[in-house]
Amino acid sequence: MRIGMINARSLHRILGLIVGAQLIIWTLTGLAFNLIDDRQLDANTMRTKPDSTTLIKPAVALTQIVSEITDQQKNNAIEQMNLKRVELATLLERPIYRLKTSNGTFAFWGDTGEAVNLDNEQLIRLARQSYQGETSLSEPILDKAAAQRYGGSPAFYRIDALDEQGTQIFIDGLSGQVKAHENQGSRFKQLLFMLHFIDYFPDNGLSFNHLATQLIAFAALLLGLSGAWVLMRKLVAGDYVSWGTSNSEGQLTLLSPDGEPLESLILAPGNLLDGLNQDRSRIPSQCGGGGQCGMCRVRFVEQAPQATPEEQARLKQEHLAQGIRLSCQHNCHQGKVALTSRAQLRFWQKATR
Amino acid sequence: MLTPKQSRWLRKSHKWLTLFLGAQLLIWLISGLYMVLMDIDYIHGDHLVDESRLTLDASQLTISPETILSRYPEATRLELLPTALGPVYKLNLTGKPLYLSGRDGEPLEPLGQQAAMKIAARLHPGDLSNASSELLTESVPAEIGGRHLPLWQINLNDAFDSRLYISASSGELVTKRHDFWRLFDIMWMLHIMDYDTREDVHNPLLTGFSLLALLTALSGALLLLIAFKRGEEEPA
Repeated sequence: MRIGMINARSLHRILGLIVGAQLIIWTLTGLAFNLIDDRQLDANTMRTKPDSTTLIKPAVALTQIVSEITDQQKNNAIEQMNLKRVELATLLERPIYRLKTSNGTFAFWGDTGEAVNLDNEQLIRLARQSYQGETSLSEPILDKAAAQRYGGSPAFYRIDALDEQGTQIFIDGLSGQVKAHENQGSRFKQLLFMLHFIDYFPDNGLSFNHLATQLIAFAALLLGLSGAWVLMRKLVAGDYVSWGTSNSEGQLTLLSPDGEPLESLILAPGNLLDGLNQDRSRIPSQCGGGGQCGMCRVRFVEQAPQATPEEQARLKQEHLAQGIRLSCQHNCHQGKVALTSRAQLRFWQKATR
Repeated sequence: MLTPKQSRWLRKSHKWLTLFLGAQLLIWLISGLYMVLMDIDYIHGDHLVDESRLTLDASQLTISPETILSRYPEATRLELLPTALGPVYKLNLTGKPLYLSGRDGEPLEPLGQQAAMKIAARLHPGDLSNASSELLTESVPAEIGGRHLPLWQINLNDAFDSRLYISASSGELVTKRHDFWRLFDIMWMLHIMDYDTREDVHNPLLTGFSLLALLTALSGALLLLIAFKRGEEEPA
């Protein structure tokens, strides 16, 4: 049981080293999602959906187009293609068929039956239609990384708007679809997600279901559970509130290593180290009361309390037998405690001079 | 490096912050772990349906889009969808969708129970002998908020209480739900601390707790600076 307890605290520290930075990243990015207005992180505030106009009747029949693709696929010896969905829409004032198939999306002009493959002028017109701003637009640039990100065809273009937000418009030249708008805000949001999901190589879009995230999330849960264990132990030990034994009355006497009385102190709530250092620093400590540095040791002259796991690990058995304990590990009680070394005595002399 | 006074103050801050926040910190860690461990496609119920079974057969199409368009010239968008009962046209007419049979071009009749089960059997790869169905016309179940009625709820009555929701007006699969999805939804609610709508990440409760959590993490990280430090050994 004791070994288990000391392990909880050590485990908490070691896990803190491993996942501490990610915990700070999680809380910071979580706060950012909570505090930042969605519109600040969204490029679509500058995006316009084209007006819904009534459809133009296509001159070429759907059956003709379907048989055309089927022939094409046959010639390329591709496995049998399944048709998933057909859409008739209007693109740049022309009717357009979009066919979603098991082999990708194909688009055809409804007036000529030709496969859609937008030229630069058409791409710019489409981008202009989709964008509210007035600034000029760059020439279309082929963007392979974006094509992978958005699952686009080989003719996937990026068009930069020269605005303050750094807007970029992504168009698939073969389907004639505006796939996305991005700007500084949406890229920042992407970065926040990347940090929160620990997904630094989002080839096919961000994901939180991968091994790195899962391992770190598991380690973080262990950190939380070990912390909870230490907290429960402190609660039971009366480190937060001392229940039961009232110690409001009485005095604490501090003795030199040789047993000569040095000072009488009024009892203070909290642990013994805090009680000894209530108005000035009489006993040095490096770790601030974590039971780690071992500097705050004192000798209980009368009945010594039971040693905690920290003390079992930190102090020699013979010292424990002499009643030496770490003052940060026990509550402030009435009684007598003695300093344990010349160095502590010199420190006390300096403090009380 | 930290002075003893600073480290004492940090330790106290960490101690009291974790007492106050402890439960929510654990909830964040547990809900986060659940969400990253569960495959999101599984949560979405992709194992419950095999949509590759649904394909459009152009030969079944006895009425062409051009004919439909000449009947409804005011349509702003026309789609042809595969359903388990054959191809269906979906038209956008001033914002409202209209569903027409791809066989005869007539508006679809509301889906009956047998037809709904037939669609479910076509979509679901497993056995449906335990399944039951219910037509929802009055209120939308909370687990599929925002969907349009009428809907057929197909209860697979399996170990995870899986359900398929099929639109009674179009025959399309609307969504699917099962217990791991429902647990995911609860975890998400706990993660963002919005216990009412389960979608508002901008709520002030979350702001307060996140700020304190940041202080907890920072005080913990600073404590690490002294966590492995030992005082010099001295003879007692």
